[in-house]
Amino acid sequence: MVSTLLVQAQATPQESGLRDEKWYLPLGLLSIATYLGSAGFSDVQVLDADHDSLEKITSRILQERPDIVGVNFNVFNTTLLDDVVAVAHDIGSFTVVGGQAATPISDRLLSNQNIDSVVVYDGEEALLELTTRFSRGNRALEGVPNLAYKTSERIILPSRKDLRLPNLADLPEIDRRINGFDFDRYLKAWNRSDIDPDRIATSMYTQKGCAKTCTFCARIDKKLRQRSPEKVYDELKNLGRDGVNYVYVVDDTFAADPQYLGELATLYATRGALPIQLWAFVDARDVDDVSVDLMKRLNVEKVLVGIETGNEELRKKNGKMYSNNSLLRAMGRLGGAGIKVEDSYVLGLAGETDATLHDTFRLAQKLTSVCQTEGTAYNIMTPLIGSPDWNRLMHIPDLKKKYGKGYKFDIAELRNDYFTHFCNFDQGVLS
Amino acid sequence: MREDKENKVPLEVLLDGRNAIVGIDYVGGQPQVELRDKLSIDLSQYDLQRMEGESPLAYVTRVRELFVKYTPNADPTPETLR
Ligand code: B12
Ligand code: SF4
Repeated sequence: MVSTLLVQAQATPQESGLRDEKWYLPLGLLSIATYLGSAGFSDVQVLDADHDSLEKITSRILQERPDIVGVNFNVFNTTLLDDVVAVAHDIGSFTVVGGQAATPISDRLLSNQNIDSVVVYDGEEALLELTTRFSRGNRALEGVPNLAYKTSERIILPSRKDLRLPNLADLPEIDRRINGFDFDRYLKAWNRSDIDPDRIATSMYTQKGCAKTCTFCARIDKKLRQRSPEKVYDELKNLGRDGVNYVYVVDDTFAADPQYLGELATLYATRGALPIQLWAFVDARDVDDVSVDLMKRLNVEKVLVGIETGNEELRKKNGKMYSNNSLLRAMGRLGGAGIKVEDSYVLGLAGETDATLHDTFRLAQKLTSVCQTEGTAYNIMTPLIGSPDWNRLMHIPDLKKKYGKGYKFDIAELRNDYFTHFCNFDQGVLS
Repeated sequence: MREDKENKVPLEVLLDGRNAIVGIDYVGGQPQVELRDKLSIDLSQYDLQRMEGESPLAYVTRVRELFVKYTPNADPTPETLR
């Protein structure tokens, strides 16, 4: 039996300044593990560096010597990735890196001699094919869907015909307790008694992908794919049995397809409403009377809306084509329905000035009069590889030289370079 | 109170911005909106301009801290997501 160990890189390392959110599940890895299990490959373990220490992870690798070690990649935690693949590669495990942030940089990642392959886009099919081949003693990598790898001479990136995105409706429900995975420690990890002491929270997804074109966003999946509403309903119901009363839906834009929400709401009406509150990412352009009514019926408690800036021109320049007035109307609808809004802004967008920053502050203040805001987030712009904004950066020869290779960057320096080139903070005279 | 007929959002609430909603409760299906005077902060008094020798990142970080401080219910963690 082929053994596989999948490791979620720590999402919220202390020194990153990110909030400690240990209740978020490593959904991608659990989905892969569930998929392999349903195909008969049950020797798959999922570890999560948000809960399991690096020592625990490496000693498990040394003890169990898995055939395949997979690690999820994120920009804030490249050191953990390097440490894990070094240990795994050293004992002869086949190493594979994956995840959304890994997808646009497979060639950069493969420059690390301890990384044998990188899975781009969804990982289910790739890992199933790899495991099937390995179980038959076949170590050839050619034609494995979504797999970038290297031969002794060169790096091979998957061609278009080798890219495969699973039909989400066909995937089994994610098993949150697969092979002893300790779901309970996630359920116990809710630590925001300031906003709700009684919350038992978890994350799930219903849809993947986003066709919108925000220039700072590195979302790799440009087409909306959906799970079947019946399976979503069943999963929510099962989560309720596990004691969950609040679900963070991680879809990029939950309300993009009112028909989908409508089907889900119909299930609530015919099979029984579920006593679970939802949180979701919602694009302001998708907020209208119909979607607000459906969200209300689905028990949506709060939505995160990426507003990005209070300056209309700047917002448009960065790919979000809507006015402040239409935004205020949309948020007023949410306010009227009692749905809270987590308004989110990006400071340091390309074209930002002192005056546009001030506009953002003013808009955030104004928003508090039309809806109940909670957790207003002012994010400092991080240029992400794979986003149109990253391409702006690569057009500047000095920056291309500095950031054109590798995957370990000093985020503070990167941000500073970006602001220096694309923002104008010297001339702003406040009105 | 005048109403924006099409959108059913009271215009005074929408446009004037002097009051902040601090809570919405549903009683018998009707929203009961609790308002309070919004902070009337004029940020221009807080030097919303880069100081000499201040790096762009230090400036944006400082501005962010100001925004967080004066926005009701803002997320104070140093690094937020998205
Ligand atoms: C939850 C979440 C987080 C959590 C992560 C916690 C956790 N344990 O997962 C938190 C809040 C910490 C987080 C942080 C950040 N996030 Co985030 N996050 C998400 C979110 C909303 C959901 C992820 C998820 O569970 N998806 C559902 C699962 C089933 O899909 P999946 O994760 O894509 O997994 C599939 C594939 O990617 C692949 N795969 C994934 N891992 C692996 C590993 C291996 C080995 C293999 C083979 C395959 C594989 O196979 C999986 C199954 O198909 C996504 C948006 C989204 N809709 O996905 C953004 C998203 C991934 N995040 C994003 C960003 C930008 C960030 C931050 C950089 C934000 C910031 N500026 O601080 C930070 C990164 C910090 C960090 N240290 O990671 C972007 C990524 C863009 C990019 N290409 O880099 C996204 C797409 C949001 C967006 N629309 O902009 N995030
Ligand atoms: S920021 Fe959100 S709405 Fe914009 S492209 Fe990315 S996922 Fe879509």
